[in-house]
Amino acid sequence: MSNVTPHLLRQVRSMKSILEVRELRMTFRAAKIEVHALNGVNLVVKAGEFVAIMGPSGCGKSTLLHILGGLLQPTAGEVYIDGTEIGAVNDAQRTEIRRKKIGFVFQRFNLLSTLTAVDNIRVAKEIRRDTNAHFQVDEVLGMVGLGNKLHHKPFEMSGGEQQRVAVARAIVNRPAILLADEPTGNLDSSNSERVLALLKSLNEQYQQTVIMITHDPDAASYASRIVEMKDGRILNRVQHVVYAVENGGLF
Amino acid sequence: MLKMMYSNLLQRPTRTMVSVLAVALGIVLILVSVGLSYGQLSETATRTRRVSGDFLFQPSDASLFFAVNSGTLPERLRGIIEKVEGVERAAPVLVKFITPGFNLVYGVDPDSYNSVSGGLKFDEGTLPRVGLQAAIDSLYSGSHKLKLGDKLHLLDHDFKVVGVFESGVGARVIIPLKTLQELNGTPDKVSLFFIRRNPRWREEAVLRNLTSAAPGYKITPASQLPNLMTSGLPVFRNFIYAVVSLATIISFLIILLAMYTTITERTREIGILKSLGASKAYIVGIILKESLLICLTGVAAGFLITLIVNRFIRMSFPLLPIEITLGWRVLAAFLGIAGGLIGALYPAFKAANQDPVQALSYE
Repeated sequence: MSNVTPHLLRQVRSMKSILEVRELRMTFRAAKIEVHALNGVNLVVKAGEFVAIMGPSGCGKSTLLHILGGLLQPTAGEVYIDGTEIGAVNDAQRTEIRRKKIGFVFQRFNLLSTLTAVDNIRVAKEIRRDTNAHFQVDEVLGMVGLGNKLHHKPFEMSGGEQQRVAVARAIVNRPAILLADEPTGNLDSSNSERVLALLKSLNEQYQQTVIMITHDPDAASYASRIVEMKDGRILNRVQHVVYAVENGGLF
Repeated sequence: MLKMMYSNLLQRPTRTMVSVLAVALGIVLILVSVGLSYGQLSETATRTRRVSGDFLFQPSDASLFFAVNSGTLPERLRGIIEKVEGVERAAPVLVKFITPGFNLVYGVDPDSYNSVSGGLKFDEGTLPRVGLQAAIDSLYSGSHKLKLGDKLHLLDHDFKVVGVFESGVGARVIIPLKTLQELNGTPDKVSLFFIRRNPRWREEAVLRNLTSAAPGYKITPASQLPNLMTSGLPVFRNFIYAVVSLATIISFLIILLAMYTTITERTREIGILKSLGASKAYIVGIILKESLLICLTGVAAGFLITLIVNRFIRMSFPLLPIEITLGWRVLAAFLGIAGGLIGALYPAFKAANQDPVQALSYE
């Protein structure tokens, strides 16, 4: 907290909330056993923030991310994405919110294996054709440094390259929130740094809101705020606000 | 989406090819079976019409095609028929359907048959008159390499070919009526009478007279034969229904199986699409469009194979008529596609309803 000034805090507070989570609970039931994955999570993320959610395995990070992306329905609590409570809408409306507002980056890249880099992004563009702001396919691949791999299929690319295609696919239609689930979990340190730098640059340059799950403190250090989780709860709200502020860029 | 469909189908070429071939098989099954049945019926109808003068006189329960084997009409009815006002001549005919080659044999009285049919055009020879003599049509002569004076083995007897006539009229083989009655064990019995009316009388008037003179018999105007042969036969209809149902079920089951396997293999891909915001309709659309692509390729392949089979039949079995109409082509294509699409519906909706989180963690 040492680098957080009152001025910076005022600026953060004045930003528009893009995501609000209130008393979120999630209980999984398998046979007669109940597992409480989330036990009353509260979180607010402002537009343009880069938030890292850290915690040990099984603390509920991925469950939280899936709920934030509308892939899972919580047992209780409220999630507001850009002002819309996604628990109060039907499945089709939730899908529409995901299509228009959310971009996902997964640990395992999750590219469509039969398609080239360009076509993977075209599919995303096609699905999100009703969204307004978007990059061109070639442009977004250029942004992630893969302008020379347009027609390569996933198996023809390294893990780092695949993850950068995944990032390009996630941001091609300028989602309100980019959700990244352990995006460097399957990468070596060099590729990890490259992907993290890419996320940071998107956050800085395009004010892309990023919420990243990670258990790697080095990866978390790229975020403007770190949220720690344990046993389905958030331990603290703001651990630090990032270097971007110090460099005068983000706010 | 098109690229994704193509690449998915090409990713599993064997399964795609088997699915395409299964749809094609359904198309071939429909077109060849219906084509052969329809061709046989249509050709028989046409040939019967060309010989029959104006009316066909049969027992009331006789089918126009399938019941011609039996000789149940007394030959002496000819006298009664010829006395009816407006009737010029009646030719008694005993019809035998011989299964090797699916050919008809007529036993005829040469004078009355010639008179009713207006005289067959002979390439050589004449109609048989007595004993083990036979006349054959030119197509039969060509396919069996028979000429005048040769022996024709028929109904366990050797007949001498005494005439070769122009094909397309009546049966392919004609033998004397008495001979066929004897061989058939039905002396003085015939299958039907071909009736020629007096040209000064109108068809309706003669039909009325015949009906009142011989109530309880089936009297069919020759002009109605082709339609009655092909559309009025319940056996034919049932056979066609069976073939069409079988072909449609094949398409349905194969596509169901192929798409079900596909969506199981592509569970993760479906999860990815859902994470990108794909709606249920989008995912259903992908599966259905892939199935449509398989079905369309299958229909095209089916048409191509049918064309080859058709040529093969015409070249190898010239006596086997095959007639594939445009209507049946359209119907076969429709059923192949519809069967496939219906088969893809369950896998498509199953895919669309998959839990995205579980799908994304699918190995």
